[in-house]
Amino acid sequence: MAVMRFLKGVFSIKLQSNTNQITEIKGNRRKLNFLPYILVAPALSIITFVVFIPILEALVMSLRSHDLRRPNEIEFIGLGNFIKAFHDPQFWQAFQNTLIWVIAGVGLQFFFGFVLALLLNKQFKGRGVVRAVSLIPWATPGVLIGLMWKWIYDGNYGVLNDVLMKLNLIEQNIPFLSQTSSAFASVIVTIIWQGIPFFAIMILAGLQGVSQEMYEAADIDGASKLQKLFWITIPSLKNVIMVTILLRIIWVSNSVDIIYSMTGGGPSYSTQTLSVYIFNKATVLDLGYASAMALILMLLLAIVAIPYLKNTFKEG
Amino acid sequence: MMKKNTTWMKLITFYIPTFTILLFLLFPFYWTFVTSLKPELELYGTTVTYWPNDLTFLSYQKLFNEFNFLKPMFNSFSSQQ
Repeated sequence: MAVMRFLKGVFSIKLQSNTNQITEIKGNRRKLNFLPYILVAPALSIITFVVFIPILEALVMSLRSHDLRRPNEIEFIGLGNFIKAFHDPQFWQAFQNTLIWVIAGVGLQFFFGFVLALLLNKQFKGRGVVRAVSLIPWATPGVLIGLMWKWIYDGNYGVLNDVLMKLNLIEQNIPFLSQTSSAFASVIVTIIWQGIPFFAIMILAGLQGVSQEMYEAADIDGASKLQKLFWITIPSLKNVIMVTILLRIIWVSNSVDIIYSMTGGGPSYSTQTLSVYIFNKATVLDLGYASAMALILMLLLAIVAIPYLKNTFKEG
Repeated sequence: MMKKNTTWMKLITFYIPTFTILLFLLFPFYWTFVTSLKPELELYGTTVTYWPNDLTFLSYQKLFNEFNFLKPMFNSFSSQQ
């Protein structure tokens, strides 16, 4: 029954607009229109198979000691996996790392992407080429990005050490990815590198929709460039910025490929985010524990995303 | 005097930031490209070179001969359908 009510809620707008005329003619008798349900059914059934059923399976697995290394001991243990996570210091470190990874990663991606979008919005020779070329990092596979940067950061043969050495900034080579003090910052720089073009392209697209008349009016009033930026550009782009940041928060907190191919979560778990920890647990076949943590991560993302979306579209 | 001032402003507010961000975004690709053209000895040598001293296409030959690169390439394209 709850499902029916939910479905009715989802489709109520369409149903009402379709049945308005019918209800007017036939008085209070409301006839259920089946057409919308039939039209939605194919998409809904595919989503059920590829999204809902796997999530349900993860939910079931998270309630069992589903460790394939001990196949004879798989049994229902209730919330055991979740309790285990709350007492697991590695889980809390991964949780803390995820927060830093998302806040520093997405924050700086946004900042540099915004600056790049403003720069690429100006008229200059070769703008098309520069726009196209600056998108390449976004089109590069995550594992490849990890390998490229791993080679740049290399402690013996890496180019970054060589550049810093030539600029006299360091005295001896730094093994960026193999010491705990620098490994996490290094992988964060890599995710920032990957995300800048995405922010730039989204904000650049948003900038095309900002009406020029507002800038002209501001010019007549004698507004400075900074005033125009803060009172026209940013408020006009609010929805684009909010949606892009949300998408990026979800992708960055779920991303495994870059960290996994660069450090695998090490040294001594200093680069292990929740998604990497989940992946590491799943690769050693402790599927129950991995599913439980995946559900916790999903819940955390939902807690961030739902109020965020509500706030963003409240006025619009 | 005014003209010179605006050129400087443009350099600081436009050309330098654009160049810096582009350098950051594109250098890894340049580096991957240069690395692909270096012989193994130069990759693990004592000095880092910014353009191969001894340019070679051996890595590309290896890619297609030993690792059968056409197969994964074909797989990438065929999975799009």
